[in-house]
Amino acid sequence: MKIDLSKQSNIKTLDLKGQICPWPVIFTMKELQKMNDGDILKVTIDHLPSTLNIPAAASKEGNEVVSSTEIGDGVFQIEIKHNII
Amino acid sequence: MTNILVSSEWVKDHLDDEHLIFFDIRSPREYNNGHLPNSVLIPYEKILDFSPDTPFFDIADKTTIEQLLGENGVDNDTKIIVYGDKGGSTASRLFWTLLFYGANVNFLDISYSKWVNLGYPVTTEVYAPGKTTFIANENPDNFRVNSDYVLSKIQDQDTIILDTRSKEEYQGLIAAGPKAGRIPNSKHFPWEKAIGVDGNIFHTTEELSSIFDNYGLQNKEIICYCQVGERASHTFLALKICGYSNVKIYDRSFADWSNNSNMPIEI
Repeated sequence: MKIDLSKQSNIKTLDLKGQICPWPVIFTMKELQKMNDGDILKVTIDHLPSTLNIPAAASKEGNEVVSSTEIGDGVFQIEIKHNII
Repeated sequence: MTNILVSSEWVKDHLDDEHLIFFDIRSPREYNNGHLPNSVLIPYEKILDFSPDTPFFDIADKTTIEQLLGENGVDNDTKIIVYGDKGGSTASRLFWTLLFYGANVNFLDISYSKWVNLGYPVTTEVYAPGKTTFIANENPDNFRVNSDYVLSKIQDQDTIILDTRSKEEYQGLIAAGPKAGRIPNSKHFPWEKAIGVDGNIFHTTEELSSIFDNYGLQNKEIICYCQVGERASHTFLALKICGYSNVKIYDRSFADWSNNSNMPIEI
């Protein structure tokens, strides 16, 4: 089996626990702007409103929200695949 | 409206009151790990009308809230006590949403974490009250306002518009939306100023009054806003606790304002 390294996705994590509106959205979108098509960003947050507005903002820019899961008590991980429209 | 807050001591002694129900606005996992007796989990998204196509969080419509309350055993005589955790902005939003629809609602004066630390009763038993009917009465005090209303007030000497966002947002140094800046003539009141210490949702009334005294709010109409209406909810309640009677909330806030090309922005 051959793996095409040029198309291998990078995975980056962003720990935004303790951050409240508007910082989770701002930091997430700034990080996405630095990423390449196909890269994965895993954002960890503990601010409930961000579970709605991060996916919305990421989707609006053409990124794909792969999942949003509560991984700890009040802690959510949102996985976003970077796409360029 | 008076007595927004209820003390944890009072609540501890009234946990079995059949006319009381507790609304927990934390996450599902947090609720499942423990909550106040006779409390139901209110999913955050249920109190909002949120579409990825709109920049703001809108309040859930009347039918949705009537269903939500009815399904959770709330009729028009039931007293609801809301609680949450951390700074209390999410619970604040839940509070005014219920207030907007005419519910009989109070706010636990401490966070869930502090309740646990005090050794007060918690349970993992899921509370399932019987269904009933709640009839909503929209905006009884006319406290929720929209962008056109705010626009009509930006030159009004009898109105104070409070921007409850961070200093960086107020100064236009960062933006969570398409444009940076603030609503013209708004005063900066970072919402954290009203958060109490040691798990208290708010400072004491005396402390809050002292803080607000510096803003020239007496006998004024006060309009609170932030980015999506969370932080403004907390300040809205803090002002009401202090007895300011003419307090309004522009809940669509700067997310709405900055996406509307007809609205002026000051930097």
